Amino acid sequence: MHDAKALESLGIPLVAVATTEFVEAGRAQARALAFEGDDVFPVPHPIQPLAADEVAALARSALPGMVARLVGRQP
Amino acid sequence: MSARQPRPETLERVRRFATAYAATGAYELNADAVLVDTTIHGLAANLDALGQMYCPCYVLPQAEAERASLACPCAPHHDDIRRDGQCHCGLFVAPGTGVKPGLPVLAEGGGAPAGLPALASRTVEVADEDAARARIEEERWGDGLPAVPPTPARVARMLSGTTLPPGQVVASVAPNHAPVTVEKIAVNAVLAGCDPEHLPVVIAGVRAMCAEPFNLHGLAATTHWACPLFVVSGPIARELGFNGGVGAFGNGTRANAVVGRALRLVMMNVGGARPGGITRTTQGHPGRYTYCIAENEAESPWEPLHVERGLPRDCSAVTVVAAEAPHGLVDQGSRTAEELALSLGWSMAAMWSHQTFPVAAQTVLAVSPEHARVFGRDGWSKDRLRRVLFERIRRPLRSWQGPEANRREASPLVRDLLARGADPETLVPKFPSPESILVVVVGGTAGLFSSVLPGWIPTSTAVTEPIAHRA
Repeated sequence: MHDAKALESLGIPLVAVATTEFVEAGRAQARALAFEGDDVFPVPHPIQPLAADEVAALARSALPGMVARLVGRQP
Repeated sequence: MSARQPRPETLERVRRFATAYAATGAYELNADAVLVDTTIHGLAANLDALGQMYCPCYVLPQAEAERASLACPCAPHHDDIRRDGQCHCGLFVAPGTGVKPGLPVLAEGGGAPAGLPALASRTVEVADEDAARARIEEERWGDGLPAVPPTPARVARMLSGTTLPPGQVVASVAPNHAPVTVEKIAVNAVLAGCDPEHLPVVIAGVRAMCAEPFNLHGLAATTHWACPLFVVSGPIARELGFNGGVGAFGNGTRANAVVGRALRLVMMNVGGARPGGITRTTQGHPGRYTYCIAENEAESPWEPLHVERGLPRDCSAVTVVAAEAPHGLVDQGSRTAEELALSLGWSMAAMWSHQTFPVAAQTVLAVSPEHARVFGRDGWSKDRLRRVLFERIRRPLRSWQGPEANRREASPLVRDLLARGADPETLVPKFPSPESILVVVVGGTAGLFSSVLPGWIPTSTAVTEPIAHRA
């Protein structure tokens, strides 16, 4: 979330992503940083035991939602 | 200043930010409530219109990169406050000149007693000691155990333990990267039950754990068990009664208990490392209440940890290292240093998992005095012990080639060797290097029981910080 805040301050639009188990941690950090714009974008948990191709598949499935989140927040 | 009306939720967000930032203790909010309100409105209007809390009192440059430095807290605010006593907008002011949010001191009715030095922390009035304890519990300023209410008198007394000015910023505490002042450390030290003479050790511990190589940010958030272990060495350990002897990792010694607890409370109350919030350790371990020991220098055949790590012998120091709880290593039969080293080493081979060759991080080997005597008698240095553990605790690559082997859990090195078709007899070490093993002598003089404290990840390395004795 520190990185997300820093990038946004440079005018770079972004979506912060976490697995469902870490969404609350992301929110807690966002609250502490007064960086409570869009919610953390959830992807299924866990990632740790996945092989590279499984992670790639997960990323592909999450991408449309992330793009929609980005496009949807344009002023 | 913007004339646009911000959204109510944006106003609330900016108010929370301003309070939270001032709560870190480095600065305060301006006592002029109208100025604060106007500035917060301006920040919120910019946040709504421009997407950032740009300072409303500057003419914003066109270039985005230049504008970025003016998002609150703006880049120049530290210099401005140092020079002018306030930031450009006047929202944040120097300690002692404004309003003080954050972890407060608690005073029983009527505020702080007269004659005490002024504290930058705000004062919360409570009816009595019981009400103070209840408030600590309610606000989650404690760790679940009863805490000592930090009254103005107790905090003032605690500050007598250091010559550092109360307003001095000691470090930035992750994960919130909040600046922590000597005074806020003192408030947490009172909560933990410290005496003033413990304060310099706590301050050194804060410096050590906040140093970049230690990576407190990741450690505070990890799902792993590891947490900071503080090892006190040098003359102060004996002077203040830190225990490196019987049951050093356990209960019963005030200095170990309160110093480790104070450091944990700084992590929670200043850094924001709250279990279930940003802190996500799956199981945790009891060292997350307090995890502080001394070395048993009197029973060690080797030089103290701080000397080994480059400090003078007469210096006292705190070394912090990320560590799981101690895992017992029993050997009651080895007669020689070599037998004992291999016995301890193979017992350590299961840490992280039996598949993890090599582990990625530093490991603490806590050698008991009886075991240390075997190494000392045979003339083994710490370096020799480390080198033997590195060179001899190895498994052949074929261990991961059988049908029953779970290669998904193997280390990146093993997976790479397998992928490259390396010789099955290639020996893979348990430890990434001899230097990755920190050897300390800990424990009572009876018992052929040492322990290993598995570490965390390679981006966290131990840090040693000298303790500034009170003059």
